[in-house]
Amino acid sequence: MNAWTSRLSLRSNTLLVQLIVLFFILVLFSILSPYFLSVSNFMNVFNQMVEIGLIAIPMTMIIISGAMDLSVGSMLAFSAVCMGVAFEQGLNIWICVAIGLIAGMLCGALNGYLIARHRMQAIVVTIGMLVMLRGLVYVINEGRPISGFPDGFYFLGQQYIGVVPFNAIVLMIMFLLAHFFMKKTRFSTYIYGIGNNEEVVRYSGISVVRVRFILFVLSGFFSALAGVFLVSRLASAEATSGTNIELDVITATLIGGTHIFGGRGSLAGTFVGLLIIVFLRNGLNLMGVSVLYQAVILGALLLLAVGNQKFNGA
Amino acid sequence: MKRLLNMHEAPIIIFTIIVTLAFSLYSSGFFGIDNLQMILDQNISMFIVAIGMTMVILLGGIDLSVGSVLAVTATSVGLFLSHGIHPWVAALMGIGIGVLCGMVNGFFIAYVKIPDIIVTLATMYIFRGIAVGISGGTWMTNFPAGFRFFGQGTLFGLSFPLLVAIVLIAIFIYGLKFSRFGRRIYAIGGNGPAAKLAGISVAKSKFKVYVLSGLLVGIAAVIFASKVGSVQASTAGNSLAFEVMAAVLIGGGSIFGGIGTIAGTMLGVLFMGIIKNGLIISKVSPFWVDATTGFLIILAISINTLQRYRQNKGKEGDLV
Repeated sequence: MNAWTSRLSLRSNTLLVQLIVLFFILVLFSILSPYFLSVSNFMNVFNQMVEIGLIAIPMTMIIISGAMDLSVGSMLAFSAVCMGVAFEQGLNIWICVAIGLIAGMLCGALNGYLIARHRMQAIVVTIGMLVMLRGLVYVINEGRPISGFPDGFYFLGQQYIGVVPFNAIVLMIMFLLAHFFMKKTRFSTYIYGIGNNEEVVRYSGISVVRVRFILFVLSGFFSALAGVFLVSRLASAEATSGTNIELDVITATLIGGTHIFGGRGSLAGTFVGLLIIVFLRNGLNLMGVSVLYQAVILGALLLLAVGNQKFNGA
Repeated sequence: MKRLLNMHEAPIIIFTIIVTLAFSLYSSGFFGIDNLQMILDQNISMFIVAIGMTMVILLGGIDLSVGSVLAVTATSVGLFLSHGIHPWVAALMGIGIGVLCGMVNGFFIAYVKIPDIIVTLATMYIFRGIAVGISGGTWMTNFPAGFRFFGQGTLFGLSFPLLVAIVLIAIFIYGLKFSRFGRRIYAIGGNGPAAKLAGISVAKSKFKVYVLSGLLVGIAAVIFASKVGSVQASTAGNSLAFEVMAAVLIGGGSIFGGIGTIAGTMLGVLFMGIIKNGLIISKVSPFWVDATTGFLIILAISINTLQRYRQNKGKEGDLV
């Protein structure tokens, strides 16, 4: 009887399961690698997870609304390179950052226009954008890295406040804001509603087109923001930046319990999913596992997470 | 004439002619038998992979993993060959591995019922990692002379890979049009629940389609490896999935399933090949090729949606 109730509570409380998985990963790598369990390593991880984390916020909302955005990595690179090229023209760095953010939002707006207004399939449109933007990135900067930004700009990605990296604090604030947003505002109710039953939302007099459009613009904005932080952290804008980041982001979101068909999910879950992914990657890095094998493990994890959803869900 | 214009493949044929004319005017080296042969020759693997992708998209699915399956198959064939296995046996074993990859995809999609996009996104990374793992990160080269036949040999005066492609295209055009299996694919893609109620085993058909797709990618991989002569696991077939998908959509396939033909897809592949070749012959920066592929995908989905909208316009009045 006791075992039965405990299993039941585990099944109903997915957040608890995720926390147990996270704890398991932390303990496992602490045993396997002597370098894993230290403040500097943890802060390092927090510093590196910011880009994935920033993109995971709008990705969670988009998946909850029943769509998907595969073009985030290319939008990241596009805005990073736009920023770099603008800087090479001799503009002030903060104006360049603004240009990068606007470039990202424009890409997101194009996605949103095609998907929301013309009701095209999100997956195909964003795959098209993924390929096209990546190509444009190479066209714009001809494949060479852009560097030599002023010191003040590196503050964003490299500065530590006390022991905590500055960009991790930004990420935390963003997550808290977004969490509050998803719990308290009317707009978030629309997002959940669209994910559950788009028709009903439309017949309730809510503009589905506008909600979807805003979501994709948000995705563009956050991808661009992630691009800015990435350039600041690595001190160079490269054409390859953000390649394959969508795997990390989508895996983090889905491990976090967001349902692949939409309508269910939370940012708290995504945050735990994010921690699971970044600590897993960090631990595997410390043990010298190749990046490509990490992709294998992440892919398997993705299948596992979604496979489990089917049994938990409807 | 009117019947000709109403044909399913009409738009893509017109597009192809326009693009061919444009490139012919722009650069003198473009129009000619030699160049046409080269375009066909360069895109043989794509033609074969596109057959499988057409069936997958007809089902309303999507397969992002084809490039990685190609990499796994090509690397493992290289590995078999370097162990001194006979070329024909190695090729067959390679195709077997392609089938195996297709079975993995099919199992998760048809029986575990995870959405295609997620499964193939995951297996795209998984297979790529395995390919790099078994190759040890090095180039696969030094294929024996006997293996070169698959990519460069001739049979009855025609190049062997072209012959294979033609035979496969013929079989699948016939199969999709006249066999029970082919009609089932159209039925499931057109209306899944109705097909299920009509007694079609949707899961079984889906599984078979993904296995067939794996088989075709396996064949394409053998030809690819033999033709190129050196395979790098981490980059082989990197953007294949996107290009093939673009070709299917341009060829008139509907991403919602149920609409599309192999003939249209083949024209789509030819169209993509012409554009790539034309861009390079016109000495445009090679970086533009990727950007163009992406643009074509978006263009194709736009046309697709427009067609769907026009077809549904009459019915919409009844529904609302």
